[in-house]
Amino acid sequence: MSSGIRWRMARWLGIAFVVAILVYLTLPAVVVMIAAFNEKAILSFPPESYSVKWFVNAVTYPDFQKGFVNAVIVMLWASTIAVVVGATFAFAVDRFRFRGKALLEAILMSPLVVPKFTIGLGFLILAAQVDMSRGFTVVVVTHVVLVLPFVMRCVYVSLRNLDRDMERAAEALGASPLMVLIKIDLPLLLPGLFGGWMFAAILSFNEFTATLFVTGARTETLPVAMYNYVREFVDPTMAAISTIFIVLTALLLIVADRFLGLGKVLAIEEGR
Amino acid sequence: MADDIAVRLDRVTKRFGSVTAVSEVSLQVRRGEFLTLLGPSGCGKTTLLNLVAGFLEPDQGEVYIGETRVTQVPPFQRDFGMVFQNYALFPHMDVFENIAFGLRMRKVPKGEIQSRVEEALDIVRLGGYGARHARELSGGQQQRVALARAIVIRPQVLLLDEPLSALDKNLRARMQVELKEIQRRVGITTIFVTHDQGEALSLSDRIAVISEGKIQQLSSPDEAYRNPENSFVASFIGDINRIPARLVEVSGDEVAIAVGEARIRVPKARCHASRAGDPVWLFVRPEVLEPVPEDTENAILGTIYAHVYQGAHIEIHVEAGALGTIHLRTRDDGVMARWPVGARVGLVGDLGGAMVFPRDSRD
Ligand SMILES: Nc1ncnc2c1ncn2[C@@H]1O[C@H](COP(=O)(O)OP(=O)(O)OP(=O)(O)O)[C@@H](O)[C@H]1O
Ligand SMILES: [Mg+2]
Repeated sequence: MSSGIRWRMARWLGIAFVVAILVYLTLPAVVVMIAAFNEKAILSFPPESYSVKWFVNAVTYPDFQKGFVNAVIVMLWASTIAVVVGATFAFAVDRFRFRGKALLEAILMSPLVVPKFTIGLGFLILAAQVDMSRGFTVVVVTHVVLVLPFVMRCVYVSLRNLDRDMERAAEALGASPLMVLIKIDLPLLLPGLFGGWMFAAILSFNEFTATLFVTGARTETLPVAMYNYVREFVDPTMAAISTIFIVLTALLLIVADRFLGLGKVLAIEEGR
Repeated sequence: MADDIAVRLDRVTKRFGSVTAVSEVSLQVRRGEFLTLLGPSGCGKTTLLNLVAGFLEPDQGEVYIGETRVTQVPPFQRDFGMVFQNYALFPHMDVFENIAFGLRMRKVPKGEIQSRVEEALDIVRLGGYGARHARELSGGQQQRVALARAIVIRPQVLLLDEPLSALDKNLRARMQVELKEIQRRVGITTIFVTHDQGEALSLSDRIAVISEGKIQQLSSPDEAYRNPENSFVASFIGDINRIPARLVEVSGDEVAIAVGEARIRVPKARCHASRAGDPVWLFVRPEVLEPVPEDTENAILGTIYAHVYQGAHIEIHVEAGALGTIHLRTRDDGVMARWPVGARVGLVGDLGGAMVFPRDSRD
């Protein structure tokens, strides 16, 4: 075999490999999205006939409606609080040397390694102690803890990319530390903060495991409502609501990309 | 304190761990003066500038801006303007807002901000660029915005840390001229940091040559070039040959030194070594030397190693054995034919301007 042919084969193999991975990654979503349009009340694939009636069912189902509203309420509170808290901690960790800094960082990152049901259970027990087990507070608090590491990463990366000479230039021009923060740091960190907020929002909206422990009938979020639904019914409504989920999240990302550039939002781009 | 001093450093020391970046430096910058801190990488120039700005606090010593002692004063309460190496223009503001920033921080009235920013833009010849965004400007233009932003607040002193080093060669030469012209017109006291001796020579009223955290010489460019006070300054400023030699005798107003086989006389005033027998360095500028036949009396001997044609002049590299490589520079392009590569050659010259400094015998 000539090296030219061998080279071309390697190339095709490479392409085939990449395609296989992409198919593998998108396959579940695609199957679910197609299954959602099945006319029959079974989750079969591929469907024999098509209909949108399960979408109608999904958006009119009262538990889903309430779950959606609840999830949005929790998401808005949790992501906003997480961004404020996370940004403050990230700033402190990046800028100052203090005792216990490494410990603080480890604690803030610990939700990444502690199982989610442990966190959920922990907050459930705590909430019962202070008699808050029926309210939104405990749900929001749980979500804040869960998304905090991701928010901090986002802000941390933007802080790293922030040119310290910008701050110095502002200081040289007479800006007090507070003014530097307001006029220079905040505007320059805004994409990172927004990215962190987006991350937090998406994670919170999708969060199920820990949420299951800390929600009650009144505070049940959409993923929990979906779980309760599948315990009773197995029909394409689940696929329909999943499809809505995917489309909403994608829309959110597209909007973010429009306004800020996805690279910036996810803080994966280098500074300048 | 005399009020013609804009900045004063008084025995200032700054250490980073075991590194002493600035060591007992005292310096007075005169009002309106263009003073350059010149030295190799890592000698402490930026540290010195940051001590004036207040981004660093000295371990010992005092810093004064004008009449005020500012050693413990944070930067935003000191009265200086600064241009950074990468300009550090605020990317979220247009040119006007960048320049207006310092005035806003000083709570200057709106109408005055408008007129002062426009005036500053005119000074740096960027009139009408106010609405542009920083990233829509060329390197040279960004440089000028940074300069306008620093001078619009009319600070007592302007600090420049290698502001031209990011520009390409041609633009750099143009900005040098422009910078000097603006500085003279505005009359602002300026401390300029560079490791480029050519830049220092052409811009400065005075140069502080720095090595290892200490000022080696503080003088006019002309003095630093003609009368270096030590061998570091001699080798750092201008192109120069450093040739190992030995002091033979001191007689009257001349000293005799042995350079290889040659015996050479240098005015005593140009010799910083005192004892006969001392190892010394002979510093000679390349344009002073000329090639002669090798049997010429008291010529330094060597072999032509290379011709380097540089347009306006030709550089000839001469391999002189234990003396190392000696460079000469001439405008006469006939020398290339008369002294081909490989030819034996003698070197002589008017050494009235040469310098002799003590040499550590281990060197
Ligand atoms: N923040 C710091 N921490 C530790 N060491 C430092 C710090 N800043 C400077 N130094 C050290 O102090 C010395 C002087 O540094 P400085 O930046 O002042 O040099 P410089 O003359 O500006 O050099 P260059 O021309 O490369 O910019 C160097 O040895 C440097 O490594
Ligand atoms: Mg420096």
